Amino acid sequence: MSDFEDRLRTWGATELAAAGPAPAMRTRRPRRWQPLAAAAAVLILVAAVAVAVNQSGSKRVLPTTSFDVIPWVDTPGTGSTSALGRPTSVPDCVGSDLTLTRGDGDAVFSSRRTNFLSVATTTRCYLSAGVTAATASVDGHRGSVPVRDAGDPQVQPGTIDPDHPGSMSFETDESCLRGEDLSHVLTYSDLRVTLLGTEIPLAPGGLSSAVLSCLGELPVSRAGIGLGGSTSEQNDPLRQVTTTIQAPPAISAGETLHFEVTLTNHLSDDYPLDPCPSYRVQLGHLAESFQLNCKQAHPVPAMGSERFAMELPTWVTDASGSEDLLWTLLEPGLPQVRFPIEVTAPSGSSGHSGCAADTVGEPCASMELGTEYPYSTLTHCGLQSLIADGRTWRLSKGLSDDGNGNPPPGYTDVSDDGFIRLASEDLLRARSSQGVLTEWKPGESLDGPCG
Amino acid sequence: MGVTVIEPNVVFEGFVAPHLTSMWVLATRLAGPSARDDVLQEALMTAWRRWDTFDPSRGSARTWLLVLVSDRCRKHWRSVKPTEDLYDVASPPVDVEAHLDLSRAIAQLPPRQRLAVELFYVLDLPVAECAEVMGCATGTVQSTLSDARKALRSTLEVPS
Repeated sequence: MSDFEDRLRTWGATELAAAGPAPAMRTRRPRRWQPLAAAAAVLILVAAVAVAVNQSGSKRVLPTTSFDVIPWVDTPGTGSTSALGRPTSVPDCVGSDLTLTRGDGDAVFSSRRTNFLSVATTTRCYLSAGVTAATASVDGHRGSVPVRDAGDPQVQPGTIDPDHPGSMSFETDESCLRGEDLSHVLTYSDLRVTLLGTEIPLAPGGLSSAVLSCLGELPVSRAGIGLGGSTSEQNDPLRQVTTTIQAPPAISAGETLHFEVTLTNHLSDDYPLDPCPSYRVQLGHLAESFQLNCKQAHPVPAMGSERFAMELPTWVTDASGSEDLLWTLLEPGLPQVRFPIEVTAPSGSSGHSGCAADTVGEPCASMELGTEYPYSTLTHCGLQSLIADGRTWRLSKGLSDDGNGNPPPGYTDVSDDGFIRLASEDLLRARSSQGVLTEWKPGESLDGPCG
Repeated sequence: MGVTVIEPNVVFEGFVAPHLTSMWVLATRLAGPSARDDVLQEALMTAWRRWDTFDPSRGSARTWLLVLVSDRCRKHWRSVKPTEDLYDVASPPVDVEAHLDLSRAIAQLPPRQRLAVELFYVLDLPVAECAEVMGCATGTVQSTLSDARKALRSTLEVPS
């Protein structure tokens, strides 16, 4: 070794010693949402695979499976988006500033940098003003977003990369997330979303709290928020599963809408249906959630699809015109798809039997499972009990009154002309004239004038 | 089929921790103390985002992470005017003046030569790993080091 080489090596060793020890890696303190990080890495990998698959060929032909259409089952959905075993969290929001403004104040989506070193700053996303929790998803990275502490001086503009499709989800009401309260659906028609200084359009009619809280996730991109397509081509290419609806272009009010939903898996691995996902279907302002018929379905095969038959009883209404059929799997990262349907006025025959629409509280002697019947519910003292299928039913889910013994929101006073349907032998579902859903179980009638 | 529960932070930390010192040293050496934290942070963020693209068959974790640091340093160089950072020397060398002369001369090397010197003499990486970090063949590393030594001898007026 030459003297100069030796000098260089001595110099290198001295410099290495002078550099000192590296700072310790700092693991973020455990947060209550951190368990959600459990599945995050999987989502990142899945998203990366999806991107890779999408980029690997100029045009792909997605095969369909040989399985038949999976029949529809009337199993109530859980409404939960968090228990499906798929990733829901990554710590960081990356990107630009996204500001949501609502009528009663500002909800600012913002973040700080999250660093791995103690020497640097930290990154988080925050959402404030009436929203209790939120998650952000950008470029395959997802993260739970803790509520901003009031007056937190460290909040800075958030960072969602506008060049990468992302999504945000909002939870405004925990009970709604559990599917327990379907009667308080508010529409934020005045919600304004600004991305990089430019206001971006929202879904027509604004965002309803049902969408915000129960559906969970909305796609966010330059194109807008919550704007879904009716075909898979309009879906975000980063999504792992896309949804397509096949439905009749028109339906007569009062009929049961039969349609098909195709889930297409763009990944190279099967998309499991375990735990069984729920989905939410909405026509007009009425919405219900069900579980997929997982008993008869298979995992959606890699690069393949699975078709599910769907049913949704409609209701008799004086209004007719175009309505949006909205369908979404209650699972993070999956967009809502929309299919416009022309609802025509009911013809002479409604297809119903057994109960007359104009009889108040008239007992229905016998009801067919799954068939929707017009029913006028006594509401003057609130919802107590009703008689149908030769039995007395007691309210099991939904608000019984407005807190003062009067009809609950969504019901007209004295009586309300809605519909009832026998969901199972011991479960009756009712919907009010204004679309509020309640559930009833067999029970005894109450005594007294309001019984 | 159940929920796969993993802790990405913990796993990532375990992935990075053994090489953090090397990353720290290289960031310090190439970007200087003032920008070291930012460079290292950016490299770690990049590593976190691209972690799933790391392919052990194409190189070691250490070289992959050092590539990220090197890339960040290069971007840092582009964004700032060249300055001479002063940093503490924990244990002063015997010949402080000669040491500083050599440091100044190395700081003036072209970026590729400087990177090769830092990797080879400071981080003490084998030539093969230097090649992985620099994205070139081992022969290129050796010739780059040879060019660097030649330039340093010339600057320092050391006879061949």
